[in-house]
Amino acid sequence: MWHLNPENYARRMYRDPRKKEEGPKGFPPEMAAQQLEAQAFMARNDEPEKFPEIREKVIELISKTHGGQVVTIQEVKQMIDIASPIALIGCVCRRMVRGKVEEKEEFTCMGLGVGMFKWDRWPERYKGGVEFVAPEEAKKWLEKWNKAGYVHTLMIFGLPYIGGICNCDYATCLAIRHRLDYDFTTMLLKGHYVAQVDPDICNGCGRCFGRCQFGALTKEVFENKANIDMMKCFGCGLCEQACARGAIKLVERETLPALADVW
Amino acid sequence: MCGEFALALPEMKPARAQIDIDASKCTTPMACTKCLNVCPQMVFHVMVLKQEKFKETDINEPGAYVIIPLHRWKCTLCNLCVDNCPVDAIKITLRGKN
Repeated sequence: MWHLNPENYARRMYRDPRKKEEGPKGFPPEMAAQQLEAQAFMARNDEPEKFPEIREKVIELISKTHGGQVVTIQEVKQMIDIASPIALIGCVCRRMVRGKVEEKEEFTCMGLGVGMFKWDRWPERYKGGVEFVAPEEAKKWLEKWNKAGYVHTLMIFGLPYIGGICNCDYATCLAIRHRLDYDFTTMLLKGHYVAQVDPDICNGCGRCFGRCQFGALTKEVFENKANIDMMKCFGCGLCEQACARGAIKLVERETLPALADVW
Repeated sequence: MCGEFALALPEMKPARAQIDIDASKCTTPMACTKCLNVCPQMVFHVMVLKQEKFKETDINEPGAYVIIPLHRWKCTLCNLCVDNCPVDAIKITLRGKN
């Protein structure tokens, strides 16, 4: 799995000179991506016939700059063991979407790697401060977020550099919204796993209901069991974590021929 | 349209809502955040207008932040934001024919 390669957390990846290069229209790639996204939103509002074409360009550009991928809590714990330093930060999406300024006790975002030293010095851009934590403490925070129902996603800052773990829900996460509302696929790729329900074990207790942010898990009313649409599943593992009977298992995406290349 | 078998892909339609936010009335949106939180469709988005190096932007400073109706195509014209705005800064009108 690519995100377990320590090289993808290295300082020289963070400082990759390609990030400063001029991209389309003379802007650095990340800024160009933001401008293109803004164009796509405007087109979606007023001239939807132009939207698909701009979307293709957005997908291509964000695949090289700032995108993400859904990961399970087990994967995040492995990533925490590789990356250093680890810091808690306030979620920038929630600030922009719901105007929610997170205080230190309620941080829901985690930064990984050397970038955090820079964020620490940049309060004008990364507001609310940076709280460095030890790996064990970071794992406790993760479990707290997982229990609350946040989807863990890794954040790429110039592929393949991994700079953070976002903890998201549909309503307040820009990555999930961009994927589900606008189909910017590279903004948030699906994870390496797909969830599957064992109908013989599931007793319809409902602990997993409401944990799916992607609209894949529903209650099958007639059978009184959980049902997961594997095509819609992003493989975050939140439902698996909630199941007390072990009725939901995560299958590797690559073992499913029709899903192996659906990201 | 293809007659009785019209179960085609949903067509992307332009936004029906025209949302105007009066920035002279809504000066400190981040200190209020009412429309951001009340909107069921999460149409609104905050933009930072003022960025000073090594300084966190004060949410109470007039004009430092602005609200934009970024995802206007999702608006259902339910008017919850209009009813809840404490300074009556939001105006929503229907675009196009009914």
